[in-house]
Amino acid sequence: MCPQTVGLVQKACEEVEIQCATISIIDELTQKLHIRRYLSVPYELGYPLGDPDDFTHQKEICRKALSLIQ
Amino acid sequence: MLDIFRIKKLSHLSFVDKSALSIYPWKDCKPGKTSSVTLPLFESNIAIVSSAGMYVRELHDTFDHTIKGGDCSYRVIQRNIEIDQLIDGHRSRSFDHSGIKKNPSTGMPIPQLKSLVEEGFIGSLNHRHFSLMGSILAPLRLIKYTIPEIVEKLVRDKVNAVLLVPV
Repeated sequence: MCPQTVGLVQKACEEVEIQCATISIIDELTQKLHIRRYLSVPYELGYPLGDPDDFTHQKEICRKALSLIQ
Repeated sequence: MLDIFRIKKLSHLSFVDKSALSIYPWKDCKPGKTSSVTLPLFESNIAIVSSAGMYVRELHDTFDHTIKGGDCSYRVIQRNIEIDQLIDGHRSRSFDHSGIKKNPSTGMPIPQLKSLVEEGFIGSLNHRHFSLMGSILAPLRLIKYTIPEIVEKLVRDKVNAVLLVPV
């Protein structure tokens, strides 16, 4: 249910002009929810930013996601 | 390019979980209007909203796993938090918790975004962020009470953009 929870936050934020970028772990659900901007990540549930030991890579995931806003 | 770390996703869920996901009446999260304001990221104030169920033992109550339909409450996580203070309070058994237990910032990426501020990629990191627990089967209270409160705080903080992190 995590995708729906963040999806609903995303909807409310966008409607007051706060732009959102969402990490998507299960694209089928993200698309079903009609989330506007999302970065699809190839990771298992529980690992939205991938390897917990790889800070540089986690930062790049955040950068890529936020880049969707531009 | 992204390295493939592990891919199990839906396939590793139990038959019961997969069946529940297939019949669940998902909400339409498509925004009713399109935001016309686009501030460059290097001038933007960014906040994080995570559904990883993170909380701080010394400051917060844990999320209540007994509430039918899910705990719709949220916790405010300050930007200056020591990331090791964050505790995984998520009730879901549908995902492997070891990653966010080992490194809570993978569910609440405050250090990663601080680093992006230092680089000048984003303007600033908001002074507070928001943590929910995603296992909310009955989202009415979430929609009616919790989310408006969070959005009101984001507006008050002059947040321009939000990074949303589900687990």
